[in-house]
Amino acid sequence: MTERSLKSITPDSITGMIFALEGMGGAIVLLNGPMGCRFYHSTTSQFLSIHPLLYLPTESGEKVPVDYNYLNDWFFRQERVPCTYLDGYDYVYSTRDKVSDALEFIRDNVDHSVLGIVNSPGATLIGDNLLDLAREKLGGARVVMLESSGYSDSFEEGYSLASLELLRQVGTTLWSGRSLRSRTGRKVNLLGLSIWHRYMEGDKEELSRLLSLCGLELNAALCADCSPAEFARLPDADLNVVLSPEMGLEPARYMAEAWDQPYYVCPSLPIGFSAVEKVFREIASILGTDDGPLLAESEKGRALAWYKIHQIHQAFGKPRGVPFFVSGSPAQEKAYTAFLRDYLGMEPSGPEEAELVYADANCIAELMLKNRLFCGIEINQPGMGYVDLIPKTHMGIRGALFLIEQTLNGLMSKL
Amino acid sequence: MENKPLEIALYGKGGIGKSTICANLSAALAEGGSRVLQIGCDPKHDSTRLLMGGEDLPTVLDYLRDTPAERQELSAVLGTGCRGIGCIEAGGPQPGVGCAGRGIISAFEFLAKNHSKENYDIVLYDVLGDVVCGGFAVPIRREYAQAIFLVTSGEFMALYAANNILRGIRNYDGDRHRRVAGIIFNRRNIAGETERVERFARAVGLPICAEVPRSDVFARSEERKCTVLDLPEEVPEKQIFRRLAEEISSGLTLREALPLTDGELERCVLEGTPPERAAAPSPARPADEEPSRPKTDRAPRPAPDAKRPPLYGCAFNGAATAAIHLTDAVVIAHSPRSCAFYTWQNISSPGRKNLFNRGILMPSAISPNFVSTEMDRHDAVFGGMDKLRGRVAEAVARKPGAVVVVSSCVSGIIGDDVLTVEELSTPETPVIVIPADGDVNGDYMKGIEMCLHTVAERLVDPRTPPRSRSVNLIGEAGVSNNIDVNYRIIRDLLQDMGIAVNCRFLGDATAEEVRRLTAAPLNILSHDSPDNRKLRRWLEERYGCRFLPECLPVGFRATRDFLEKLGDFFDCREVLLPMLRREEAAFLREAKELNAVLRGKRVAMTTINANVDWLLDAAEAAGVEFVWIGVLNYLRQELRVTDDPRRLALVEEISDWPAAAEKIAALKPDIVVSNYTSAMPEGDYITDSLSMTQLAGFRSGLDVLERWAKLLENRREGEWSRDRALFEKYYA
Repeated sequence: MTERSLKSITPDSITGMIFALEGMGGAIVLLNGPMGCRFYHSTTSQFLSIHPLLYLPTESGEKVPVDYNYLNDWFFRQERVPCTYLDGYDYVYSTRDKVSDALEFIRDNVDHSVLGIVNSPGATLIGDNLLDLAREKLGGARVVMLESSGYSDSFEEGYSLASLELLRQVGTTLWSGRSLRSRTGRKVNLLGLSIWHRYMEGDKEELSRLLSLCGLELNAALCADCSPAEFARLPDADLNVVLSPEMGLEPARYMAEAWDQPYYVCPSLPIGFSAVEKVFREIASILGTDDGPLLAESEKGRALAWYKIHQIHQAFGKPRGVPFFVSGSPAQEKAYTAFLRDYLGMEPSGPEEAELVYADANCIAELMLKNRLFCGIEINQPGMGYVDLIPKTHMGIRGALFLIEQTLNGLMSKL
Repeated sequence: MENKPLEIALYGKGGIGKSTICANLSAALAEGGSRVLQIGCDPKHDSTRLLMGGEDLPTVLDYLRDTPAERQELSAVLGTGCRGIGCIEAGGPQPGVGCAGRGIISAFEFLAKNHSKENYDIVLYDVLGDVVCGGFAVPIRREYAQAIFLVTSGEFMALYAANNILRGIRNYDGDRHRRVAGIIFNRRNIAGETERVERFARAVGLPICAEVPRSDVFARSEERKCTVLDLPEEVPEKQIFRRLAEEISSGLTLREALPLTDGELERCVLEGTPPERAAAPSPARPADEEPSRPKTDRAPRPAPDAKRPPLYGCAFNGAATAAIHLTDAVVIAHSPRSCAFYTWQNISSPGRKNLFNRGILMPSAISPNFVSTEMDRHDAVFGGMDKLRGRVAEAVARKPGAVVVVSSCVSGIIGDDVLTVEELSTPETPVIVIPADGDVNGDYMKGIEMCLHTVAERLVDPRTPPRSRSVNLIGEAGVSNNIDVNYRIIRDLLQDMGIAVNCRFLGDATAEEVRRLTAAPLNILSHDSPDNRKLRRWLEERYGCRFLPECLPVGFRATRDFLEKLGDFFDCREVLLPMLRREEAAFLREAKELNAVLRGKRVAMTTINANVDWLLDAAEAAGVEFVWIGVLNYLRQELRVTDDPRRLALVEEISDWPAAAEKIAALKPDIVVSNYTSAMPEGDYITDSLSMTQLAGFRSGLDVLERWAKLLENRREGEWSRDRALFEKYYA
C-alpha cells in the first residue's frame, strides 16, 4: 500500500487570495478561471462566514434582495465567488470578453463594496490586461486585480499578497488626499486573521475583548470580516499587531511606510496562557496602557483550569506525559506544542503514537482509518462537519480554557 | 514621488534587425545625456550584446530558475553596458518546451518587484513581434510602453508582423489612446521596398521616423562588438540614430493604431492598391472627433460564447476523482497544488461526513493515494516535465498496482508532453496518463469518461478466465455520501444469493480486479444517466460485456424485479423466495403503520427528470396522494419520471423555479419535495429534498415516508423561523 503525501495537497496561493478578499465585507470576488477552480471556494466561503444577503444596486438606495434564481449567470446559483467559466478556447482567444461581460453583470445586478478579480493558474498564463478593463467598467476605487495566481505558492503568501494589493489598489485611491491620523493612542489593527481559519470569528472576538481589558480598542482586522468602514479607518490605528508574520508582515510594512504606523510582530500566536500574557503585556507596554486587568483574568483562568486538570490528574495521573501530535502551519505547530508541552506537561510524539491529535479533519480521519484509538481536536479547515453557532477560539484566555476543555475530554478516550 | 521614466517599445519580426536598431538608439539616447535601460524581450536574448561589448548577460528567466527566491537580486541580471546603459535580457525557455510568453510575464514581475526602472530616464523594450500573445504583449500594456515603434523591412512577412502588432495595440487601446510613434524602416534592399513600406505607412496613418540603410557599417560594428555610435570613425548612420534620439527627447507625436485587414494588407503591399480609408500620416486627431473604425481581421472564434455552454467542473477533477478508486494505484496530479487540493476536498468530503455522521470509514475517500507535482511559476515557464518524470519514477519505484497521471490546465496550456511518461511503465506497474489538461478537454463528466476508458484500455485483460456467479458494478464513480452505502446494501443482497462482486469499475477496485473485468458473466450499471449509458455501450462494443437491463434498484418493486432477474440469470431463483416473502411482509406492515399519519396527505414535487416510481409506489401503499410533479427538463430528454401510464397526468414540464413556486403556492400541498426548497414560497407545508443518489434496496421509499411522517407528527414551528427579518437587520 502506498501513502499519500500530505504536504503536496494543501490549499495554495489562489485560495489564500480568494479568502483574503472574501474577508472584506461586501466584496465580490470574481474568479477568472474554469468552474473546476470555483466550487471549493464558493461553497467554503458560504459556510465559513455569515455573508449578508446580496442586494441589487438601486439609485434610490433602497435595498432589494437579489433573486437567487436569477443568479445563474456567472454565479451559478451560489452567492459567493462568481466565475468566468473559462474553457480551452478562452486560453487561446483571450479571457477578456468573458471578464467584460461578467463585470457588467456584477455592476448592474449585485451591490458590492469592492470587486476582486483573481486569475486562475491557467488564466495567469495568458497575460490578459484586465485591470484597465475593470477600472473602465467599475471605477478605479473599487477594484483589486490579482494577475498571478501564484501557482503552488503557499496559502499564506497568496493571502499576504492579496491583502497588500487591497491596500495598494483600493486603499491608495480611498485614502489619497485624506488627512490621516485620527489616532487616539489606543487603537489597534489585527493582521493575519482569515475567514478560512477554523475559529476566526471567535479569535477576533476574544482578541478584541483582551485589547479592551488592556484599555485598547480593536480598530480593524484586515481581511477578516472587515467591513468597508473598518477598512477605511485602517490608517487611524496606533499599532498594527501582526499575529502571523507570513500573513501579516508585508501589509504591516506597507502601512508603516505609507502612514508611519508602527507594528508589533507577535513572537507566537496567542495560544495558551503564557503566550497570551506575553503578547498583551508587550502590546500594552508599547502603547503605554495597563495590562493589569488582563493579567488578573488570566490568573483566574489558570485557577479554573488548575481545578479541572487537578481532578483528572488525581484520578488518572493525566495529562502528564500523554503523547500528542500537532499538524498545522509552522506558527500553529509552535504555539500549540509549547502550550500542550509546557503548561499541560504532555509529550509531543509522532501521529502513530499520539493519544491526542490536533489537526484538520482530513488528517484526523486518515489516522482513524488506521484503527487507532485517539481523540482528534480540530484546529484547521476542513472540519469534520460540526456546525458551530457560538464563536469558539483557541486564542486568548477563553481559547486556552476551551483548548484545555477539549483536551481533558479527549483524554477520556484512553482512560 | 517616484520619477517615472519614458518607456518605449520597439516591436518587429524576428531577424529584422530590431536589436541592432534598439542598441544603437539606446547608445544615441545615452550620448544625448539620458540614463537608458534596455530590456531585451526575445528568447534568443542577444538584444544587449552590442551594448555589453559582446558579453552574454545571464537572462532573468535562467536566473529565476536557478536561484532560490530568497536569494534573488536585481544586480545579478542587470548589466552595465557602454555609456552606462543598463542592460537586461528577459530570456526564455528552451525551444519546444514551456511558454515563452509566460516567461516574459514572469521576468516583468521580477523586474517590477525589484524596482528595476528606478534611476533611469528612458526604458527601451526590444520585443519579438512575430507572435503577439498575452505574454509578448506585456510591454505594450499601458502601464509599460508609452510609445511604440514598429521596426520593419519591405518584406511582406515583416509588414505582416508590423500590422499584427498594430492589432495588438488596437486591442488594448481601442480608439481611446494614441501610443504609436511610427515606423523604423530597416532596408533589406529588395525590389520596390521603399514604395511598399511607404504605402503601408500611408495606409495605417503612420510616419516613417527613420530609414536605416543596408550597410557594411553594421557588420563592422558587430565585428567590433559595439554599436555604430561607438565606432571611432564618423559614419552617416550615426546621424540617423542621433536624429531619432533627438525626436524622442524633444517629445514624440503619438498616433492611434489603425491596423489593416489581411485582405487590405495584401492589396496594399503586394498589389499597390491603398485601402479606401487610407490617409496621409497625420498628427493625433482631436479627442472629440469621431474615430475611424478599421475592420480588423480577428481570428474567428471556433464558436461564439453564447453557443458554448459552461463546463461544469473540469476534466482534471473528474478524472482524478475517478482514478483514486483504483485503490492500489498512485494518482499523480500534474498541477499546481490548488488543483489537487480541490479534488482532494471533493473526494474527502463524503469520507469525513460518513465518518462524522454515520461512523463509516471509507478508505479511498479518507486516504486516497494522491499526490501533486506542485507546479510552480518556473514550471509554467520552462515546462514541468522534469518534475513529472521525477514524481512518476518515485511512484513506480514503490511498485503500486498502477501509476495514474492526470494533467491540469497549466501543463496543457504550456504544452507539456505528458504522454511520454508512459515509457516509465514496468511489468508490475503500468503508468497510465489521462491528458485531461484541466478543462481544456472537457468538463467533470468528460474527465470521468477519459479516466474509465484509459484505465480499461491499459489494464483489462480479455483473456482472463471466466468467474461464474459473479457480477461487475459499473459506473459508480462520482462523489456522493450514498455510493458506498449502496454498494454495501447490494453486496449483502448478492451474498445472500451466493453471487460475488468481481470488480467495481470504477469504485474501489484494485488494478488486478480491473484486469479481470471481463471474467464476470454479467454487468450491472449503478444508475441510469447519459454518461453511464455511453459507458455501457462502450464496454459492450469493446469487450462484449453483457449487461442486466436494470440498474442498481431503488425501492421495493425495482429491487424485487432486479433480484428475480439475477436469480433467472444465475439460476438460483429458489434461494430468493423466502427473502422476497420476508421483505414484502415487512414493506406492507410498515406502509400500513405510516398510513395512520400520512393518509390523504398531498404532495407536490419538483425534479430534474429522475424516475420516482420507487417513491410513488411507497406513497400509494401508505395512502399519500401526489398531486403534481414538475419536471425541469434541462437536457430536453424524454420524460422519465414514471413508467406507470396512470401517473403521467401528474407530470408537467416547467421552465423555471419561479413557475414551480407559483404552481405549488396554488396547490396548497401538505408536503413539498424539491431540491431547491429555499426558492419555494413560504407556506403551511413541510419541505423535504431527495439525494441525487438514492439509497438502493427495498427500503428506499419507506425511508423517505418515515421522514415525512416524523415531520408531520411534529409540526411545531420553532420561533427561529420568524427571524429572517432579524437576520436582514443585523447581517444585511
